[in-house]
Amino acid sequence: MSPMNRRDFLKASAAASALIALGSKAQAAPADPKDLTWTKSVCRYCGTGCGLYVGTRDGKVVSVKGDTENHNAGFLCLKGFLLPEIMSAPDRLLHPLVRKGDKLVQASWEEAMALAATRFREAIEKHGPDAVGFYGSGQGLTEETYAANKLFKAGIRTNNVDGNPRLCMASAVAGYVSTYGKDEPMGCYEDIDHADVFLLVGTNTSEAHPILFRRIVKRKQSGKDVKIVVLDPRRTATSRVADLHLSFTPGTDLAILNAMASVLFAEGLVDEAFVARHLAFGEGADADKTLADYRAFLAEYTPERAAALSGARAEDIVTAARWFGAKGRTAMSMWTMGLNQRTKGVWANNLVHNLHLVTGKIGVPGSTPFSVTGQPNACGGVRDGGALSHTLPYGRLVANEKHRAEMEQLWNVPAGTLAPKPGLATMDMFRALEDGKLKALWIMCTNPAQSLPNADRYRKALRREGAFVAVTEAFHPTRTSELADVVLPAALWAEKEGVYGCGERRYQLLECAVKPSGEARPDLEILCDLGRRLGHGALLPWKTPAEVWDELRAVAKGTAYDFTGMTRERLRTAHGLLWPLPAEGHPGTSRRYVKGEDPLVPADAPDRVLFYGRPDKKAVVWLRPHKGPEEPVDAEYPLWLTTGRVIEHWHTGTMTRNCKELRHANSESVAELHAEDAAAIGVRTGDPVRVTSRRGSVVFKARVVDGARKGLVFVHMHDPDRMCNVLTIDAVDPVSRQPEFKICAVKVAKA
Amino acid sequence: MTTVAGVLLQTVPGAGPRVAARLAGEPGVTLAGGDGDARVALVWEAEDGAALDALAEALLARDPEILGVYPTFVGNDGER
Repeated sequence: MSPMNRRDFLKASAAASALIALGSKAQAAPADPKDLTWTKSVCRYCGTGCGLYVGTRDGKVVSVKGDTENHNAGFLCLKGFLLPEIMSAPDRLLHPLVRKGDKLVQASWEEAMALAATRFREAIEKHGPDAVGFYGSGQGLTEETYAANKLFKAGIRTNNVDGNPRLCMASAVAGYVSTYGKDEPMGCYEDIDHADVFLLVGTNTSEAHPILFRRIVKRKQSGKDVKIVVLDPRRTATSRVADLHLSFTPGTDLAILNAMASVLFAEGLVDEAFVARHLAFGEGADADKTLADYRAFLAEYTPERAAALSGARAEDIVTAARWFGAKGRTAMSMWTMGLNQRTKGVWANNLVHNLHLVTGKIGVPGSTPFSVTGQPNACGGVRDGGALSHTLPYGRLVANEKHRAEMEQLWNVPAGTLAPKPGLATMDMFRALEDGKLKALWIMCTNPAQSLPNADRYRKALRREGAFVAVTEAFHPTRTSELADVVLPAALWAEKEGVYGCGERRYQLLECAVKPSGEARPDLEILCDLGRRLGHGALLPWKTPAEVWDELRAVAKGTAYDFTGMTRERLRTAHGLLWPLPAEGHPGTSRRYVKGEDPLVPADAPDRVLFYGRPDKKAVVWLRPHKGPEEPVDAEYPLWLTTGRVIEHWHTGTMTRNCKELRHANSESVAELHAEDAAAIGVRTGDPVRVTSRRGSVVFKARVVDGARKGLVFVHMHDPDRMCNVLTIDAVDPVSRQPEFKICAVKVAKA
Repeated sequence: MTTVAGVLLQTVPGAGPRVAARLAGEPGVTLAGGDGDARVALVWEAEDGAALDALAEALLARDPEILGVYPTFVGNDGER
């Protein structure tokens, strides 16, 4: 057989993907587009935030089409295209359930809510407000997350409010805050169209964010000598289009990033004027170092030393730095979980920012550091909305007395209502559930019993004697709802109205297109009901999500997030709006910190950028040394394990596994192995292998792939029957409290 | 450099075979399959992504039986 060339490979891949999309059976298609009612909305899946229209007929969602006027230019990925199927999935939860012995049985809303409220009230009365907690989601609507945050922090008076964005982007948040003083990317998707160099670090954009990847590919083809550099231990579909792929030993990219900075200085690629005007330097938590300190620090990170530490080639590190730093060329970095899900995730984020700062490649079209987001409303709802255990809405902090006072005034509660001590971050919250300090937990729109690292440990905690767990969820059973004491049917996506904020600070309205299925209710209604039953109804007085939105605009007014001008009516007609947007006539802000674009930068500011997030108006270059992962490989556990997405599935699979076309594709998680590692244990593709870590053991089918790195096992994350998180480690970054999902040590044997 | 895309077309019911037949004459288009009703799977090759976008827009504009164009895969062969 003649070898397949790259074009043949691509054609085969393209045909396979299209045929998978075709499915074995046709989707019920609309008889005629004129028969449908089209409602403007946003995709339910990743943080790209693709605009779309929901096509309904006879009260059912039957079709979607991309919004050609939105940033995605009408394109949707396969998951988005198949969204109608999730709405009527056979495992949609249509009625409340309460636990009777070992079983969850159907109950009335009154019975279920009364039970949940009673157990929460008892826990609070007997053990204090910190005996309860709320675990939310980057998939909840902004209004819903805000209601929960307000109820728990201002009503119940506990800061035990956290959410699954802690698992995916907390390190990006801490990276932005430590470097610029404010969270969230300063750039936008349009920067992709102007970038000359892409530095993609720890992101398989091709599969995890296909519509953004399409835009990157388009730019590569239309721009002049556009370069793509990928830093990833694996050779992914993304790295196949790269001009330079640096594969390295997991957890050693800090050395590579420092070495790139070292090359920038050594080769005169630093913007000295920008450095002098706009940068401070720091180590630890203090910005008290100098440029000379930084240069001395970088002297340790020669490309050769970084190569020795990482296994990458020194000449590739030099090339990557030269391309990134080339004068007169723009550079855009993008990253996701490979950088964030690490015990040194914040440091890794800082080091990417450093490259932009020392070259001055920031704040111009095509030059920006951009953390890409995994969930549709992690940014808008949880990050911006301040629904983490240490935050308050719109950049405010629990530990800041002035911020608490502002929120107490805005929420019309007595001074001193808000507790000054940050609450429990996600892993601490589930550990508190395990050791009995947390008595009752409300889980909304997420599936932690599958998605937490070291999952079996926390599955036991969720069923601990005396613990009470309420779950609101659109599907049942999930690996979490099966453990709950009360499961409440939540309205799903097009069944309710609210706002999503995607990765580029773009807020968009999802209009309600159909009535909720069965007895399902929007989470906002459920939370307001809970609040009334706990005696806090006055804090949650709203009749509609639009009323919540008006309150949110007032809460954000005057902050760095100001979106006062985003009225509900404007959101209904616009195809997404980017904050800051402080007045109704304002068009929104493509690039923050930039004079002439960001309304918070004075028109008479002396320079093109003003990093107003910090008191000294400077961004910080941090001296962050190389430090390896928490659990290195050893003689007993000699292989690295990493986990991640495939294009067909999303998160714990509760939605994508309900699409029959997607069930045919990669629905069963496999363990991808390097050919030599597979040969060493005598397995071939399709053979069962047992992957064992210090925390658990799971059997997968082996898949021997040419993109694997020797010594590295990659496992898909979506399969509830083969949960990769039984294996992953629950060690966290000490600053962001984000777990190191991406790296641990395992052994693999033929099963 | 050539861009290769996997594409799913959604058509009005029953129009899939007709649409497929019309597209078979398009340069760079290879039919990968269809459900015989309202879906057509294609592989498109073009000089660059912009050409693919333009073709998608043109198809939607000129063929009323095509309801949607959904890329399922985009890659390039890196050969110049």
